[in-house]
Amino acid sequence: MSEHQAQSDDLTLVAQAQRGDVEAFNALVLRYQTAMYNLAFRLLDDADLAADATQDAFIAAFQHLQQFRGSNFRAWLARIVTNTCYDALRRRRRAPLSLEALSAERADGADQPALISDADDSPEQLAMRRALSDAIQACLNQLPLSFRTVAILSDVQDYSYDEIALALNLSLGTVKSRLSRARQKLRDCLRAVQELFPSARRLLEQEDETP
Amino acid sequence: MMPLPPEEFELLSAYLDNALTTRQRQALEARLAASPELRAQLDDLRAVRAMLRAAPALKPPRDFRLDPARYARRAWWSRLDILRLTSALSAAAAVLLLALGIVLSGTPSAPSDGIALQATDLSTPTTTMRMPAPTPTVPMPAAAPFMATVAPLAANATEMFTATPEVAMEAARLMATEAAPEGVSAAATETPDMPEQAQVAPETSLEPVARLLILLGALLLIIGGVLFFIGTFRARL
Repeated sequence: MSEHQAQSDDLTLVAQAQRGDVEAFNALVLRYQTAMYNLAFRLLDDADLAADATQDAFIAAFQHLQQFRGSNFRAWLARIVTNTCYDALRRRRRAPLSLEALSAERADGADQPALISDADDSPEQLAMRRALSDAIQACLNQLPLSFRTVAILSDVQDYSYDEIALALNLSLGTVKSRLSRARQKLRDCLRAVQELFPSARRLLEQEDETP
Repeated sequence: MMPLPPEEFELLSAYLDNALTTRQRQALEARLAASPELRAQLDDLRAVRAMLRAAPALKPPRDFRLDPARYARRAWWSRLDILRLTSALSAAAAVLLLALGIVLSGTPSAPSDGIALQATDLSTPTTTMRMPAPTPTVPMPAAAPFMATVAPLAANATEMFTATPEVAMEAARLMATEAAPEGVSAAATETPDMPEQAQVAPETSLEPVARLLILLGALLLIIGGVLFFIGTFRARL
């Protein structure tokens, strides 16, 4: 499905949902829940918080659907998800977990959501992808929140500058400069990751085709 | 590798995303061709973007679809607050009863009647001037003063409720439909060829009924007011 087609399809469902059709809204949830959960997780680095934030965002989106006037539902949804994540971060900062609880959670891996994987992935491949995911997350965590958000939307989720500007209510110039600074800050951290993961390097070589 | 100034970095970053104008892009490509250092910087940046794109996708731990039973918009009648509905209905009934009582007591001897005086007090001076002398030959103008005396009372009654617009409108509509036929029928009792006795008889028999109606109406107004207050208060909680 082309991007344009997907957008007009979204708008048909949005119009139905605006008339109170929950099933039409649920079709949109199905379409975007993986992307939105990934956005929330990369922002929060916490599986439970990310799930709660995603759920809250979808409920808020349904309840405020009358306010959606634009043409880009995905960007509107991303705005709501980012805002619920910012709220969650604010709450977490106010009531931080004890260090013991945090390290216990890390150790047993309860904090980590499963990866989307092919059935034929070997356990080794899965473990490698898991480690790669964690390493990239660790780099993202070092960024200030506003830079992290732009980097995730652009480079993890493949949003255009226009969509990011729409989702974060920023000017195009601000998007451009924040993204540039985020990539600059990520450079050293990600280079170290790249050296650790040869398969990631293979992906890089495929990327070389782009400008 | 020398650290690039931020503007240079921004140019390279936007170049990666095809976000430069044609002129900017051509200028940058010319400089890239001439500078291995700049090309190395661009490769670095491209690696950053590729690494982020290689971030494995995570599986949502649950389904985020909404429960239709909980989020479906309910029909208008099931959303109606029963207390508000009752209070609105009782307000309408009260206004109806008050109007009926006033109209019935407002027959020929009205100016000497205590209740009629109360009613005329609420009306505008011009209508009280016309009250004692309804023109007997034409029924419709006779109806007008009755409507005029009843309408302000209804307005007062609805004010007591701090009424919602719907209640006020409902009351006004009731006034319009109720007052007119009553006024006409009251005027009809005054037709000139009717005997004197016939004029007195309904007056004496109607007066207690009118008082009762007004009393009932006032009672209903109070009940309605209390219900409305509870309904509003509960809704705010």
